[in-house]
Amino acid sequence: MTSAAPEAVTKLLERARAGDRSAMSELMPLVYGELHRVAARSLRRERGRQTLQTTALVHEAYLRLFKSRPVSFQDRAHFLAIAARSMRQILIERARARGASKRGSGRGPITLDESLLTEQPRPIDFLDLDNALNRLAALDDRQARIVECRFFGGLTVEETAEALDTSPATVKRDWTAARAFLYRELTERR
Amino acid sequence: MPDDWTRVTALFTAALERPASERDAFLAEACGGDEALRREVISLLAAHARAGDFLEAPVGEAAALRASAPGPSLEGCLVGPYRVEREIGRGGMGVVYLAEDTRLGRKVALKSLAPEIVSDERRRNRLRREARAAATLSHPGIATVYALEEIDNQLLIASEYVQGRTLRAELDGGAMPAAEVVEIGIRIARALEAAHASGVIHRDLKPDNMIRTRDGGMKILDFGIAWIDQAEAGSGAQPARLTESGAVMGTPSYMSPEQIEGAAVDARTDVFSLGVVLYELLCGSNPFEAHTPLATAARIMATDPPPLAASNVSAPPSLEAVVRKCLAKDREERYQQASELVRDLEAIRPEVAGTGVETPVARRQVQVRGIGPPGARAWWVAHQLAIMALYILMIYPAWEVRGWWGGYWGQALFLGLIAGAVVNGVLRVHLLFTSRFNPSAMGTGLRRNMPWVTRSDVAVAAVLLLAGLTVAASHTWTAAWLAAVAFGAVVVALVVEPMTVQAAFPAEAGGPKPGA
Repeated sequence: MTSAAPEAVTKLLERARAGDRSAMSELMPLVYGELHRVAARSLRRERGRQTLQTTALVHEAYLRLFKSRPVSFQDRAHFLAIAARSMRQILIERARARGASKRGSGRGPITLDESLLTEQPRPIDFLDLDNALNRLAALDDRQARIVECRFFGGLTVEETAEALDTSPATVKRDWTAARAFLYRELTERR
Repeated sequence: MPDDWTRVTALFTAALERPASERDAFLAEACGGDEALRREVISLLAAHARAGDFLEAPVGEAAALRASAPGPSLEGCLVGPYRVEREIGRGGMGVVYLAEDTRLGRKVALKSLAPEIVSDERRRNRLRREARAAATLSHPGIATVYALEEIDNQLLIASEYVQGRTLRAELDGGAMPAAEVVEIGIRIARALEAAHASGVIHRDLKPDNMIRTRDGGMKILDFGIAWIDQAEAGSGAQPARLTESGAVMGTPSYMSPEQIEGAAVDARTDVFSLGVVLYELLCGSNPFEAHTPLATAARIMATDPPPLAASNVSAPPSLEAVVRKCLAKDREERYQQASELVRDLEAIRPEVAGTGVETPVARRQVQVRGIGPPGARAWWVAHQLAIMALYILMIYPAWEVRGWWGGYWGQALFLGLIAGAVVNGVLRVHLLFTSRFNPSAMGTGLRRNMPWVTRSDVAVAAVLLLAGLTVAASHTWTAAWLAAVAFGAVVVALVVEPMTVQAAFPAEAGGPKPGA
């Protein structure tokens, strides 16, 4: 088991909360790595058939990283936000890899994994979504992070509010605006 | 640019809060001639209108929901020798039907396992093995497994059909007296003792699968089924339940710490789960339950349940100690065997005896403060509704009397009745509301309002009696009716209602109160 030691993660979280940027950049790969392992295993187990449940993945990564040690409320929230961002990276990478293997150069719309998205009204082009999200981040970083938490991390409004240190009402408002922005970006400005 | 976007978001939000017909006018004014800004907001509003549930389901979640959708119902079908009557339950593992085994003519509970659970051959094998083990269990406290059937590629488990109420249903009525909890604990622990002796672990004990039978016994359901969650345990530590079907399985509220860690489990896991159930029976709520499965799991791993006294439950310290020993995070510190738990619970029995259901004094000691038994509360509610209905009905004869009597005094009499009935009705509705939505304030509510309820009752009765007397000569029957209602209302207000309140809210309505 190559899991990062929980002590290290807890320490990094504490430093990150205190505003230490380098702690954040050290933490990211740890959380990312753990999530990646969990996601890969989960996909293998299900043979791609079902249940790549974001929430469950994020939560499992959390449980694995912290095992039985208590973690403060704020650290947990912080962790969830980082995990959501990692999840976004993982999914986008998968989309890229898939696109590359399927279509060579990666031109044309690329969807992450058809089986994951059949319930969406139309397949979402993940790379487009990623780009649009970057444009949104330039306008309003918080809104982009809310989308990360809600869509890529599967967090509830309350968890998102906790993670981003804001109120649920703000999260709801910004989420609505961000969704409208992204929808427009993905459907009209191709 | 970012400043612009902040403005766009603010206007977009403000416009959304207005009815669609007013938005154009609102934006025209709010944008104050900034045409680009106005167009941007309008285009966002249009996108919002078309977006539907775009991004609302987190990536991956939608597919998970689809995977857990149940197969077609078997109701009314003949499956092999089983005639399926109706669905009696459903959960993450599949659907349970009441069916008749046509070969033997007996009722069975037929569990049809969800296809995604049995699609894997290894799991099927494991299931066969475990069902075989469970079928060897024969104990009055365990619902017997009759057969594992494989029909048309479906996996079905036929077991004893147990009639009765689940502890989950009983918990809806709130906490239970300590004596009752001890009895339940003893019965369940004895059943566990028998199962563990045969090497079968339940792994999913919770109030939903403990049933109180019609003759007052307890039975545990679903032995030999719950384990499937742990399939593929070979791949090491992993909380399989959370990932594989968290959406379906509900919360991990009764899981042991080692289950959450994904470690191998043994009999002591059942001891922990039973501890959670006993704690919940005593205080009415699960000590670990939180808003999300993750938060619940985190509490199970790291938090000790609050002392029972914090929930205003006065269980004997010896009982609390037993429950805490079941709930030890480290399984080495728990009861190592169900038999030890049985022994300790039996030792407590004399201590809690007399706190049984029958004696209201004893009940007061263990009841969550302010809330009485569900039956008494239903009576109390019916009482409130009946009195309000009666007063509304009395408006009609009072109106008649006003007509017969006429003049100023007739008016005054009628208005007096209305005033009394309105005050009375408002207070009663207020109490009903408080009892339902703010039970912790019920004590204050009763103390403040009951004197006025009684006074307005008496006032209404007085007016009715007065009305009766004034028309007694000309309208004998109406007068008799009014007088009867008046006397009845006085008796109810002064004698019956205090008793109803006392029964429904024993801790709040006066009488001996623990620590209050």
